[in-house]
Amino acid sequence: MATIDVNQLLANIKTTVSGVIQQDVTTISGYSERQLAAMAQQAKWIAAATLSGELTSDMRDFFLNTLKDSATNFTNTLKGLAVVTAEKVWNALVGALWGAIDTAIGQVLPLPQAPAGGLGGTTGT
Amino acid sequence: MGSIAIKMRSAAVLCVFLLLGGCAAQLAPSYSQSIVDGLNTANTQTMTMFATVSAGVTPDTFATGTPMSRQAQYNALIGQFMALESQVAARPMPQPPLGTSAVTPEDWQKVLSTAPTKGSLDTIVSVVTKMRDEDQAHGFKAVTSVGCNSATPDPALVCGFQHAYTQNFDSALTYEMALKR
Repeated sequence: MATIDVNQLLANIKTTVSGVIQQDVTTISGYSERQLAAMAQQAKWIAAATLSGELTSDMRDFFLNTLKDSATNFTNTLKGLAVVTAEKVWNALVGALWGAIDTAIGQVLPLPQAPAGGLGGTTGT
Repeated sequence: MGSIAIKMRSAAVLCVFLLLGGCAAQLAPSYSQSIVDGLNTANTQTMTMFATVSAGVTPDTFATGTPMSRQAQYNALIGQFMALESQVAARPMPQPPLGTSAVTPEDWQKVLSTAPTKGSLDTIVSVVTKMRDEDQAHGFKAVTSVGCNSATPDPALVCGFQHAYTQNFDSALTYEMALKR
């Protein structure tokens, strides 16, 4: 019967989980930067087009509403991306822990269910 | 025939085992190549439309032109994004774990109503529809060589539509690509 080497298990978990987080943070950070720049540019354009007389008040309202919707979509997408990362971290963590126990006891145990409410956020479509 | 039935039965038994025994958790929808392909196709056509109108267009050419008028192109784009929206709304969603009190049906409805891609596609449909109506009514002035993204942006209307579209398309594609895991 094998025993679990805690230091080795800890090293495995750190490597796996950090890999997931590092990769996803790069994606989320790049996405956030592009979105913030786009919203700033649109705000600047709305002001410039208003001053130049290009925008009627009706059209300005449309673009302001769209900017608000775009900001909402941005935050919802961020939440959705965070849920995907949380899912990956959960599966990597549980996989490493349960895998070590399975190896030690010589049988495959069922994996636990993720606490969806506890991970929070939106799953998104 | 018999071997197919045996394979199907084995698959069903495996699914029941996985459901009862628990497997890797899924909190977000599965990746869909067809949604990503649909987004990319519609994006290419939308960017082509922006390239067309950024040269300047007038209402009298809105409903003419070969092989497709701008009117027909706009309608095709709106239809494509609406179809993608339906596809996104209809795809299977991971369900909250059974027996947990942490996720109520109301919570779950809230989760579905703030779905990322659907919101972005809603906004895109609204932007392209407004752009079509504006083109039909007044046409568009040409975007000057300053461009839409310079420090002093061109105030041309096309730039506003293009920024709004691009930002929301980025949200939809980024989320859909993140589902590939």
